[in-house]
Amino acid sequence: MVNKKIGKELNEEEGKRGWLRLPLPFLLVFPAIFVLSIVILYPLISSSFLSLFHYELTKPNEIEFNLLTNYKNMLHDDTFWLAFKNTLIFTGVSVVVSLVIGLIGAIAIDQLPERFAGLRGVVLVPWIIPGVVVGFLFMLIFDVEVGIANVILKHAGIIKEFLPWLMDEHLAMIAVIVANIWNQVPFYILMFTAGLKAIPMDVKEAAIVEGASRWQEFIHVTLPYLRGILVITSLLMVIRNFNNFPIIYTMTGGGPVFSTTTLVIYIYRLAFEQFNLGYASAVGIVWCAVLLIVSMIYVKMLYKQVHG
Amino acid sequence: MLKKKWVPLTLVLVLVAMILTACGGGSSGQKSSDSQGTVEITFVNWATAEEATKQQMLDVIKEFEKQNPGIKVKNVPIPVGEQLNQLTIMTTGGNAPDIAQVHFDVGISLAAMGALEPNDNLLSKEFLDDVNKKLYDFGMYEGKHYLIPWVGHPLGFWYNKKLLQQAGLDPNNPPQTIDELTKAMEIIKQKLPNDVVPLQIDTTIRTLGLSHEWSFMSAFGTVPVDGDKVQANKMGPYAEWLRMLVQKGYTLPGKKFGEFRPLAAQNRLVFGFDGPSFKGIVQSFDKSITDEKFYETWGVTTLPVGADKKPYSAPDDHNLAIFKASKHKEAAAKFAEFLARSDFSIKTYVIPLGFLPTVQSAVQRFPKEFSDPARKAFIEKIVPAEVRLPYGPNYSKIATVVMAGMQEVITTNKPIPEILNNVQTKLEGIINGK
Amino acid sequence: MFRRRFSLGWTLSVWGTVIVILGWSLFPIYWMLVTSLKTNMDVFKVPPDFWPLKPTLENYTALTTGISPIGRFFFNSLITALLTVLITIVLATLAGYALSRLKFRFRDQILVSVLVTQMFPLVVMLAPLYLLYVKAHLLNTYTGMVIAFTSFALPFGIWMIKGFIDSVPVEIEQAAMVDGCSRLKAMWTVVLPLTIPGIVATGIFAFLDAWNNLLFPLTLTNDIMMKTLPAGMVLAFTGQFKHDWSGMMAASFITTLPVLILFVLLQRYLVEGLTGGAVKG
Repeated sequence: MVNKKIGKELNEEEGKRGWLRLPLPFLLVFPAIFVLSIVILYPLISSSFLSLFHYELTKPNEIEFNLLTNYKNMLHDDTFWLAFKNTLIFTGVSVVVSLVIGLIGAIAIDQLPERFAGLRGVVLVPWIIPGVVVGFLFMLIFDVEVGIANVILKHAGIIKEFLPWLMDEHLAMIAVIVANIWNQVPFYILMFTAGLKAIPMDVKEAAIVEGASRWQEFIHVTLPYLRGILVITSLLMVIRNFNNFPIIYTMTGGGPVFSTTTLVIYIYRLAFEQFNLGYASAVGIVWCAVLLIVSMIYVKMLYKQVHG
Repeated sequence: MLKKKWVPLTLVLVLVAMILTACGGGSSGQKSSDSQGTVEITFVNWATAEEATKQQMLDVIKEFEKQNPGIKVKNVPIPVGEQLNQLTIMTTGGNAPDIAQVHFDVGISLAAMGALEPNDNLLSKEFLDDVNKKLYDFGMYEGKHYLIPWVGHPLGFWYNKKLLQQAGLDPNNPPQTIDELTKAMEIIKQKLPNDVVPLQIDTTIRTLGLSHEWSFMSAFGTVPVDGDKVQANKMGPYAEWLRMLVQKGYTLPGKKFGEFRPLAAQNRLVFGFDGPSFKGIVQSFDKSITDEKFYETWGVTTLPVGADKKPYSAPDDHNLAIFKASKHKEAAAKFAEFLARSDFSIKTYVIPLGFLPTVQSAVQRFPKEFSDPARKAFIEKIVPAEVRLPYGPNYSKIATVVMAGMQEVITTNKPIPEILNNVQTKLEGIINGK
Repeated sequence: MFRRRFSLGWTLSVWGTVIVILGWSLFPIYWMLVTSLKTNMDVFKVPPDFWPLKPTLENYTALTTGISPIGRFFFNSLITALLTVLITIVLATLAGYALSRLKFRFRDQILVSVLVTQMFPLVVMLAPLYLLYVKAHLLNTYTGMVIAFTSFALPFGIWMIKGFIDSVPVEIEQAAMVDGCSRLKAMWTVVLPLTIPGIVATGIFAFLDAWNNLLFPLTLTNDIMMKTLPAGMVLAFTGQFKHDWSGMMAASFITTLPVLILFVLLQRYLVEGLTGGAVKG
C-alpha cells in the first residue's frame, strides 16, 4: 500500500535527477554489491574454474585442464576425509557444550539483582579477543612445560603426570575445542540473556501462581520461549565454527600429524603452503556445497523467525 | 539543491579515499633508481629476523653500501621457517626480491619453479676458484648452479660435559654409537632431575624437521628416499627408536630444534644436534655465559654412528640465491660475493656468530679465529660428513609426508609397520608422479 | 507482582555459577597480563607464580626495539580498521535503506544472497582473490585489505541497518515528504538519526572484524611492513621465538587493548545491535 505510493514518487524523482539517469535502488545497492562481488562472487566462480585444472604455482609449466581429476583424487585422499571428520567433531562439540554452558550462564546472570547488571558486560570480554591472541594464549596455557593447565590439573589430582596437550592426537583436539569454547560462550550468554528478557512477565507470574517448580517453569515457560533463539544462535555458530581459522592455526597449525586439521586449515595449507591451487579450489567447492545446504536451512529458519 | 547530491558525493569521496590509500600502500615491486644511477637491491633474509644475528648483519650491509656507493640494499627480514612460502608468494606476486638467503632445499625448490637465475656467469673467477666446491655443487639443479654458499652451518653433536659428569658419565668421552647414546640417555633420565632434556631432535612437520632427522635416519641405515628408490617401509628400527625417545621422555615432542636452545642456555639439555651457531645463540639467551664458560660446558663432535660406522651431518648451510626477475643481477652478485668472501663480512658476521666460512682462503686469512675447539671439530670432522638430501621440486612434499609419518609414530599408538607402509605409498605417489 | 520466595540454596547456586563463569572468562586474560610482566626465566618456573613477584615492563619495551616492527603493525591495523569502518557504514547504510524502503526487482533475492555470502568460507575465496590481487596490483596495499575486510563486515551491516530502518514508521518519512522534502532529504534528516544505534553497532563490528582478521593479511600481504597485528604476530612468534612466552603475551595484550577499550566504551550499542534483531520473533 504505502510502498506503491513511494514507488510513484520515486519515478517523479527520477525525472528531476539530471546527474545520473539510473534507477535509485541500483545506485544505492550497487556499491555494496560491487565490493561483495570482488571478494566473494568473483572468487567463487573463479574457484569453480580453477578446480578443474591441475594448477600448482610452483610448477608454472605444468598447468593443464583435467576435468574431474581433482574431485576423483579427493575421494581417495585420507587427509581430506580426516579433515572432514575433524571439522564435524570440532564444530559439534564446540556448539553443544557452549550452548549448555551459555544457557546455564544466562539463567544465572538473569537471576542476579539489577545492580549487578555490569557483570553481564564483563562476561562478554572473551568474545572480542582476537582469534590469534586466543590461540597464543591457550598455546601457553596448554604447553607441556610451562602450561598452567597441567599445573592445575595435577594439583587437583586429575592427572598424575604433565600431559603433552598439543602433541597428542586426542588431547590436541580437546585443547583447541576448550580454547574455542572459551572464546564463544559469551556470545551464547548474550543471546540467551536477551531471549530471557523477552519472556513476558505475566507468563512467568502465572507459572509461579500455579505453583510450578523452577524446573517446571524452565521446561514449560523458558524453553519454549527460547526455542527460536536457540536454533538461530546455534545455526549461526555452526557456520562460524565450520570456518574457524585463527585459533587452530596459531595453536597447533592443524597438528600433531593432521589430528586438528579442519577443512579450512587443510584448504589453506593446500593453497598457501603447497601452492596447489587447483586441488585446494576443488576441496573448497565441495566444502561450499556442504555449507550451502546448512545455510539453506539457516535462511529458512530465519525466514520463519522473521515472518512467523 | 546541494543536499540532493550527497549520494554521488559520498561515492566520490569513498573512491578518493581508496585511491589515496592505494598510493599510501607498500612497495609494488618497483625498483627505485634515482638520477645519480644508484640501484636498490632487495635482500630477503632471516639473519636480520633473529636477535642473535641481526646487528652483525646490518653492520655488514652498511659496510657494503659504504664500499659500493652506487648500490643501496633494502633489507627485508622474514622468519626462517617462512622462506619458501614467502619467496614463492613474492615471486608469483610479481615482487620477487633481487637476492635472498635460503637453505638448500628452499633454493632448489625455487630453482625448479623457475624463479632463480643460474649464477655461473654472474660470479667472478676469483670467487669460483675460492668457493667450497662440495657446497657449491650441492646447489645444482638440472646441471646448473643456482645457489651461492654464504656460511657453513652443518649440524654437529653437542654434548654437555657438566651434566654428563653429574650423571656419572665420562664428560670427555661422549657416546660414539647410537646404542651408547641410548644407554647414556637412560642413565641421564635416572640420575638427573626431571626437567633435564637428554636429546635435541626436531619432530615438526617442516622441511627443516626432515633435514634435522635425516642424519639420525642415515645412522640407522635407511633414509626414506634414496635417488628414486622409496624405502620408507624399511625404516622400522629408526621409527621404533623415535617412539621410544618420546615415550621415555628422552626428548620433547613436536618442538623445532631451535626451541631446545633456551633449554641449553638454562643448562637443561645434555645432547644437542645443532650447527656451529649454537654457541652464539646460547650466549644470546644468557649474557653471563662467556666463551670460556661455554667451552667448559659444551663439546662438539660428529653424530654417533650406526652399523655402517659412518658419521652423518645435515647441511643446514645458508646460501644466497639471485632471482630471475631481478633487474640488478650484477649488483646482487657483487653483494653475494661481499657477504661470502670479504674480510669485513667474515670478521663481522661469520666469525663472531660461530659460522664456518665457505671460501677456502678464509682459514688462511684468519688462522687464529678458526681454531677454537668447536670450530676445529666442525671444519675437520663434521663438514666432510655432510650429505645432500633429495632436494628438488617435490622436496617439501616429501618432507611433509615423512615428517607427518614420524609425528604419527610419536603421537599415536598405531603399529609402526602400518604407519610406514602408508608413508611408503604416499611417497611412491609423489616420486612416480600422480 | 508475584515473585518466588527467597531460597538460600537457589541463591547460592546462582552466585556459584556466576563466579565460576566469571573466573573461567577472566582468568586466561589475567594470565596473559601476568605472563607479559614476567621475565622469560620466570615463565619457565614450575609451578609458576600466580602473581608477578618482580613485575617488569621489559617485554613491552623489547617489543618496540625488537626485530618485528610491532609499531608499524599497530599502525597498519588501525588504518585498515578505521577505513573499513567508514566504508562499511556508508555502503551498508545506502544498501540497507534501499532494501528496506524501496520496491524493486530481485530485492528479496539480493537480501538472501547477501546473507548467504556470510556462509562461504573465506579460505575458499583466497586462491582466486590472491591471483586477482596480483593482477590488479592490490597485494600489499591498504586498499586491497580494506576491500577484503569490508566485504566481510558488509552483510551483517546491511541486515542490521535494514532492520533498524524497518522499525522506523514510514509515516514519519511521509510527513516529511509532504512538507516538501525530497526522498533523499527525508532519509537524511528523518530516518538516519533514528538508525544511529544500528550504524554504530555496524561500525563496531566492522572494526572488530578488521582488527581480528588473520586470513586476509596473512595471504594478501607479503611485505612485512604491510602486515597487520594478527598476521605480524604469527610471523614474529612462529619462528625461532616460539618459546618467548612473555614477549608473545606482551604482544597479545597490545593487540587486545584497543578492542577492549572500544568494547568498554560502546558495549551498550553492541549488545543492542546484536540482540535487537534476534529477539523480535
